Amino acid sequence: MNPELQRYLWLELTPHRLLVTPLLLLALFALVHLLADQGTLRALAEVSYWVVLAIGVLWGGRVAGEAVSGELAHGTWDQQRLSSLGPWAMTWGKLLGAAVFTWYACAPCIVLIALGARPDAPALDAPGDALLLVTIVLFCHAIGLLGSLHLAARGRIESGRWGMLLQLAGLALAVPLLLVGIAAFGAGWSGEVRWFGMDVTLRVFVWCSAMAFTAWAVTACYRLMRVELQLRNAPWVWIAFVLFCMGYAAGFAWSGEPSAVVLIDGARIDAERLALLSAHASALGLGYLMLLLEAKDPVAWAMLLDAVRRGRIATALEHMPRWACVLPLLAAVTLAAWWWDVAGRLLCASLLVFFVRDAALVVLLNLGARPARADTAALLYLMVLYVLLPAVVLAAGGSAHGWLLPSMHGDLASAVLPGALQAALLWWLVRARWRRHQAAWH
Amino acid sequence: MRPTVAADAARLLRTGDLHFRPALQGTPRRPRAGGYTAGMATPAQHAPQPHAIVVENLVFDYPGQRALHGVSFSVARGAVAALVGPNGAGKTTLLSCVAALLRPVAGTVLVDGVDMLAHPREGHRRIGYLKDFFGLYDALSVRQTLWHAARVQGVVTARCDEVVAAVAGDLDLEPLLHKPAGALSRGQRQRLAIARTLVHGPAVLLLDEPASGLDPEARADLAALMRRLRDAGTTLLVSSHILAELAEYSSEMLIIRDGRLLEQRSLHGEPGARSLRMELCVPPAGVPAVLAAYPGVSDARVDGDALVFAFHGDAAQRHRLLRACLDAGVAVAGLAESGAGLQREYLQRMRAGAPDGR
Repeated sequence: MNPELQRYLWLELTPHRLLVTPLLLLALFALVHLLADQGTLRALAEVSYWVVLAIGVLWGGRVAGEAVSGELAHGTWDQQRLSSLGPWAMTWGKLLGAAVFTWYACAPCIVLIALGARPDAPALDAPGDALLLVTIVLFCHAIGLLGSLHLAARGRIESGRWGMLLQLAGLALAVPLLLVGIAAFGAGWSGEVRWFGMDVTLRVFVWCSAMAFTAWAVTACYRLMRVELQLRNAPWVWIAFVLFCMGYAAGFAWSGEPSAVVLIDGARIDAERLALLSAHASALGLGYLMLLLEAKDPVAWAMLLDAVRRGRIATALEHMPRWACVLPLLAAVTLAAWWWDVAGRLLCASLLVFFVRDAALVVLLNLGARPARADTAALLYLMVLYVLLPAVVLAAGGSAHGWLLPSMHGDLASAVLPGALQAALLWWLVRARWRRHQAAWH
Repeated sequence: MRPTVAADAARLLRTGDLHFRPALQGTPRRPRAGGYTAGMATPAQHAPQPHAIVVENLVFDYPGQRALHGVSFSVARGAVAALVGPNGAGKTTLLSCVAALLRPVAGTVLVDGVDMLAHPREGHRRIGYLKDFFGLYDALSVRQTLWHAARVQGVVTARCDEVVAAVAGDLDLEPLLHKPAGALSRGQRQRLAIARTLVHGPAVLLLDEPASGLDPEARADLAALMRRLRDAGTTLLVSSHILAELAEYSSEMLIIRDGRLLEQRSLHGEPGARSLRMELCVPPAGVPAVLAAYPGVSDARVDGDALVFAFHGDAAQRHRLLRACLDAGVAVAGLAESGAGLQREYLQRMRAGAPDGR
């Protein structure tokens, strides 16, 4: 048995818990049976959904989120890193082990869900629903573990604030999937999703999406675990994930009907070209996510610059910040939009330069005297730049587009140049601060 | 050895798979999948390489600060190296780099023939590292803690009970096997942490302030354990501020200051030798001829009423040396291992290296 899983079994499945949990569930199910005014099995299945939501998703996500940060707090993580256990064994041992008690509590509920499918549903659908639920719960746990590993990578010091933020971000991603599952379960999975012009049944679409994103989440855990165990990662898997998300998002816009037209801010955009903008938006979102979440390590930046100077491409890629890996993809989509003469091409270019500006702001603050607070400060400055200042300008009767907000109107000079100038200024400041930093360092 | 052989070893490791170049770099000793055995195995028996630890040009940076400036040293197989230096000198950073817990900016670290930067997980099977601040899973029993440590270090399940019993026996943990770690005293927790680092039978032990917070009795037990490990051939790199205790079992000293290695010197001449102090009834005029010419004796000198010298030999040989001196008429009042040498040499070196000469 995986020794990490074995350790969790010892710690989590105490005799007391093993005995009391089934008794509590039995009491709950007895209450439902007594109160149910129609089919008991169906009522039990619906209650079981909520039990899984509470125990599997909320509690399980929480304990999975403490799998590494808890060890950091108790001083045991370095001992784990000194083990000869491989990153994959460590990942799945923690993923299943940290939340093993919640699986123990959820198992009877999942069985009830499988048994309590609608009487008119095809026989194979009930196990499918249960499997979907298992996948979504696993996704939540993987997101929790991912957040925990991110905290470890960010210097092993931050716990409460960022831990809670990551937890909420994970739930924000997972709960919609779960709610769709619940709604679809109640409605007997009626409805279809149009994706890349294909009409896919809701059941199949949700099932495939859950499987795919869970696989990506587990892969991300494995990749971050490799870093924790002092192994090196090239950015290809991250780039593949960004490309996957770009394709996934584009699929919703790509209707497959040439005549489909969408109006955005007065501009007519046909559906195929809207798909390009969707891809751009999803890559941009992931870029910002990594810009704020990723550990900023000046030592790694120095090693990156050194590797670039020496022409060591592989080493440079290992140290490349993941937000920077998104830039070529954004640039490629922007060029494609330009070449294709998409109505939103100016918006793509404008968003790109604003992203480059914001990256400079985050890097600049992280090179400051108090890097521990840099990301929080950056978040605050970005809110000021994108919300407060435009509101002031708007209230004064002016227009914030171009200088304060990305714009899709006008020409290059008015929509892109202001952002590009701000980006250039901030990167010049980064360069100056980096030189001072290096001079003090050596 | 140092730079040349170390650089060659590092180059060979970089250019070929460790396991497929045995003729060039010596067959790396396989980690003991069987784990700890009572009294420990003797790594030197099968050792193809003379040095258990080779560090070459190690550079490590914290953001805005260089912590290690091109540190190079090597520790002979079976030696006990005392890593000493003032607070903030870089001792813990150096140990963490050797243990592959921190990734240096530049340099090479070979432990038991394994390139720790290229193959950290392989290297972890061969080392045990006790940090100054360590954690234990308080809810796990002593037996579960050791069992888990053995398994994560690659000891096969069938051998786990055996190695747990062996290491618990050696560290007097047997009566505590079923007690939760959270219920142990400070000294017992320290012993459990040491047992955890030993359970897989590592060839190299890295210890960072192992005696910190221990009472005198527990410190004496720890020193005895260090001597047992040394006698069994385990290579130790020990960082501590308690120099008198380090001197009891260390064979060489590494002095580090401001991230630079000031000096590496043998405390007892050749590796495996011990510094002995022979107290005399009257101040000697010089080193007696019988002692100077005795096989295994080196670096003999007069120190007040005593003779201090390095001696390469076991207890029986020390007994024969003592008898030879008595037979030759040397007025011996006592013979013991010298514990003062390390502290004296450390202070001399630090004062010599201090910018203001103090």
